[in-house]
Amino acid sequence: MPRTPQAPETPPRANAWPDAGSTPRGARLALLLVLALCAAPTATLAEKNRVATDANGRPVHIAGSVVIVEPDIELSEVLAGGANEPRSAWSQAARRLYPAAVHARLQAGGVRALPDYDIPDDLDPDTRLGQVLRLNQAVSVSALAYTTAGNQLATKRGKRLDWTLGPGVSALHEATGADYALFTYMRDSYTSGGRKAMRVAALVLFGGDIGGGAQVGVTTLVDLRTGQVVWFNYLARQTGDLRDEAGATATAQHMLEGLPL
Amino acid sequence: MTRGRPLATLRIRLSCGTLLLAVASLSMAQDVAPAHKGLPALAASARPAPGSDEAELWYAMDRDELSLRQSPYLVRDEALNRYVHGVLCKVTAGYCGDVRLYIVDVPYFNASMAPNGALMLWTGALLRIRNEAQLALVLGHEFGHYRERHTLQQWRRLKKNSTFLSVFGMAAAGAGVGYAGMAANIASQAGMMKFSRDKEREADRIGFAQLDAQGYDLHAGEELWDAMLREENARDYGKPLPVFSSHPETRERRDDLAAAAAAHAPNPNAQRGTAAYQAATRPFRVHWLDNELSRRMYSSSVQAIDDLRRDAPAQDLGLYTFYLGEAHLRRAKGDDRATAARLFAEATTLPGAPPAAWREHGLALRDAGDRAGAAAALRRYLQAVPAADDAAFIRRDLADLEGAR
Repeated sequence: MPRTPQAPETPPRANAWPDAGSTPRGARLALLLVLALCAAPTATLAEKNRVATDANGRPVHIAGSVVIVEPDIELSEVLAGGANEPRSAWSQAARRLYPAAVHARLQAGGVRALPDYDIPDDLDPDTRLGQVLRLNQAVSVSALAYTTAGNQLATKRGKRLDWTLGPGVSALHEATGADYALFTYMRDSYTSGGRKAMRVAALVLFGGDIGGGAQVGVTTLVDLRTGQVVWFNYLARQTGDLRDEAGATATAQHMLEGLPL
Repeated sequence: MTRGRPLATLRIRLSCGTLLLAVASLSMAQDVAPAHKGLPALAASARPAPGSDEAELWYAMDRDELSLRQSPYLVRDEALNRYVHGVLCKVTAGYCGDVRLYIVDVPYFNASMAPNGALMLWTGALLRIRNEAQLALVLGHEFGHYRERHTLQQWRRLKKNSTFLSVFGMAAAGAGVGYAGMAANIASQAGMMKFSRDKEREADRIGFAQLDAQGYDLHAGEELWDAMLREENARDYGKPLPVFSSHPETRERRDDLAAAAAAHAPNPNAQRGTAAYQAATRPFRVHWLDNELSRRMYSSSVQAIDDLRRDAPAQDLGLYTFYLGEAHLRRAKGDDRATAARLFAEATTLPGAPPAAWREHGLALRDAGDRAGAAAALRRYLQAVPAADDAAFIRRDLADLEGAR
């Protein structure tokens, strides 16, 4: 299905008072990914796939068990006018299908996967676990921002992936018993019939693409014994589908490309 | 609070709604979509029809709410939540089970209602509200947004408008007249905000009716907006452009509420609930005032705190006098430093002054050359909070003052 950069858009809140606002889920990450999507065609695979290196400078490999942390996945529909409307049924299916596809991929790669870790709904933000989950979001955003071509930090040049969540990850190790945690963030949107028609009309009339849906995502693999981010990848493309099993399998293949098995 | 040490700054996350509404407005049309008249109000305990766009909006907000519950900015104090929720339950009457309260620690005056009944109230509003009647009005207003399904109406309008604009934008781009498209965007944004302002007025009317039904003082609204108006006028920067304001101008809103109150027969038994409100919020005021100053909008803080001081119960006079001094000291324009020194001195003679008042008073006396007075005030500060973060600095200042140097 054809896609284009679309800022994931949530419905407005009714604000009563002079200063408007609310707390978004990963709004910053989503925006960065949209920016990455714009830059994606110029980035080669080698530039976006990143593996950490050991003390001798050699790429590390997974040595131990992996737990899939409850992925943050939301799907939406791009309406004819370009507004993104959330879709609960699609999102719920994707949150089931994607981890299953990742399990299959890990199994094929000979990695032992533990039962998925479901983040408690009322997790106290002051707990080490709550802090580690938010820290991973912050580090993912930084890794994404500073591994894109032309935006490297002076201290992190070259192909080296050099990020860590620190020893506090032991809280997640204790909660799951796993040696590695796989984190996933994904936003996926699909065009409605009206949008497709308008897109075709735009192409025919003006020779320009007004865009449809987009699939953007970030994933990190963190060593729960040390906190080291051993692998990082992102997706930003105008194809892909998480609504069915075949699409989820294909998306997992792309997302896990370069996983250091 | 400690001079020379940065305050914990609150990172204010841009609302996805606000942010992306701005994005969306770039692809929005002129005022072509009709208002969605005839959408019935939500009944108590009602849920959206499965598969409807309303159900999808509720779903998205339920997901947002999950992350809000894990937010470090959520105020979890049980007593405060119980008190505010009690007032919310009163003004929502039979809908109490449909709305959920989230007090969020952000130092701006704001409250918002999500379509699924999640109400966010910022601590900057709790700081400025004077009594239970004003709180009831704010919460009643938000309830109005919920019951009348304002977000759904606004969303449906946005969908229609952006559909039109996609066509319009394409045509304009094709003809090479980008500026025409831009003008359409601005007009459409103002048009959409107009829609929203009508909804705000409706919510104000509902809030007022709830206030009346619960026997609260009907003048709460005009008093609250009088204070907001004074603060808005005191701002050095960031004045809202009326055409883009999603809210009826403060003056207009204040006048509407005053007229509504004047049209009612005076109720001799009207409650204001000042003592109850002040008692419930007092434990948090030092923190809220620290956060207020962290906005670094000192002119509006001077106005807001001076207003609070004027209405304050005697037991809080020292608190507001000290923070008014802090606001002046940090603004540091004209004779602000002298004003601050005078206010710090005054604060130490009033009930409710925080220990920091003696520290600041002492440092001001030192700067004025009163070594003995300065030393006495700093000693008093250290006695009150011997383990303060800046105790070592103050002890050194004290040693300098008492030493031979």
